Amino acid sequence: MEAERIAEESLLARAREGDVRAYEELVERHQAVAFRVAWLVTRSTPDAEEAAQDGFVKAYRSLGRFREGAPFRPWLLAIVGNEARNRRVAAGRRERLALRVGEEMTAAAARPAEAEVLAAGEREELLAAVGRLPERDRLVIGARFFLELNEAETAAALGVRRGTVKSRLSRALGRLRKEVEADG
Amino acid sequence: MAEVEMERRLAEIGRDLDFPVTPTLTGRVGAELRGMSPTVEAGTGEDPARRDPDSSVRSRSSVRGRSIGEPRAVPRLRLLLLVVLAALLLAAGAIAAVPSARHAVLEFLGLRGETIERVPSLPENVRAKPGWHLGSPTTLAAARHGLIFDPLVPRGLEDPNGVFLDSSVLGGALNLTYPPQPGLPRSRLTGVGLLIDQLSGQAAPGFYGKMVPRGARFERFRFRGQFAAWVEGLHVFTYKPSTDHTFHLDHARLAANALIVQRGDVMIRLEARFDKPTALAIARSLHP
Repeated sequence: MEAERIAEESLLARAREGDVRAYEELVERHQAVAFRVAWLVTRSTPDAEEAAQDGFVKAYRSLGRFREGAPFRPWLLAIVGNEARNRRVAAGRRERLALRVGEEMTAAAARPAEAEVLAAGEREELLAAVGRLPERDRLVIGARFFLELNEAETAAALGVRRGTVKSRLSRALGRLRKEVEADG
Repeated sequence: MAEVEMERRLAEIGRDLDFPVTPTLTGRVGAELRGMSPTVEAGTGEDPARRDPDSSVRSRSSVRGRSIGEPRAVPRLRLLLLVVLAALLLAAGAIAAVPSARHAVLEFLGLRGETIERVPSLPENVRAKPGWHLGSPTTLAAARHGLIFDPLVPRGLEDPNGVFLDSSVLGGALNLTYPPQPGLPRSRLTGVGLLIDQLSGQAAPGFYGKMVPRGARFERFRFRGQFAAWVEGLHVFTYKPSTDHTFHLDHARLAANALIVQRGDVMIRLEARFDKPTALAIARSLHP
């Protein structure tokens, strides 16, 4: 972990001096999470792609303002998240979360079929319940559990304070539990 | 359900979710940056994302060599292509509503084996079904006897781990599954690294169907002189069962990125967690 942090700081230092190749390495490291954050917000693959790409370009142009020694990922996700929100507002999209739980062939083979069907059904129901929540609840649950972002990263990606993430997540989980109970 | 249990299940869902394939941004970002001034701006303390709302347009254009502030010039050829594409999409929309016109327009589009329709969003009840509707397991040598066309296989990949013949399709359909390998990670939607379907577009026009929601990318283009299509993102894959020859959502599954190309009269469909360049490279390597 420490070696990784040092390597990233070195790449950032080189990128700050205009080394595009070093910045491309940073893009390579963070493109998956950046794209997924953008996708979570826009729910559109083309928009997410554009938001992530523009986010990376803007981040590069703003490296002079990046605080040395600070973690790069939350800072980047703040920029990408903002790009994604701008696109979502512009497009006026309100499509439902279109994710589906994939079926695990290997897992299915290793477990009794009935148990697998039951587990898959429960997961589908839970995901459907998430989909029925208000957007701010879906976003905070999506960021924390589906993207596995920590609190700071979630706050950055959603453009809110860390304390807000905590309270919003708690309320979202409460509403989700009620939604599941009402469903069952 | 207890909160801890719910959180555990949410985390489990997160690990299993099929996010759209992450695009390779490295080269594109690098190209944009090399097209702009190499010096990084000095700090002003502003939020970088809010300070320059339209820089995305400007920076994207810089890759094409257009200077900042210059009006966007649309090349005439590109404009013509856009007009043709719009006409094709309108035609595709129209055939969805008028089934009798479907065949003639599909002939015109050239994708005779597959019907592609744009839909506002994914239907609610369609799920992933790995191993679904592949046909009877067989060998490549045996499958040749059940097909009216010469099957094609890609070069440079590991051998298929499954060869299936679907005799319910007029002219036969060949389905090949490939194990996960470098560049072709296992797809939770198909359960394999790569799925290749082949059928005769002449014998079974419009046998397969795709419903592509707004969020998914859909492109038509020419590949080796014939029409081809690329779908990126979650969409619905359907087929017409031999009993009534119409599409039903009961006969549908979620599909990932897919490339559809034609080689002569054979329609080939490649589905995997790959990007378009990888898909095209595999399509180029197909040989008898």
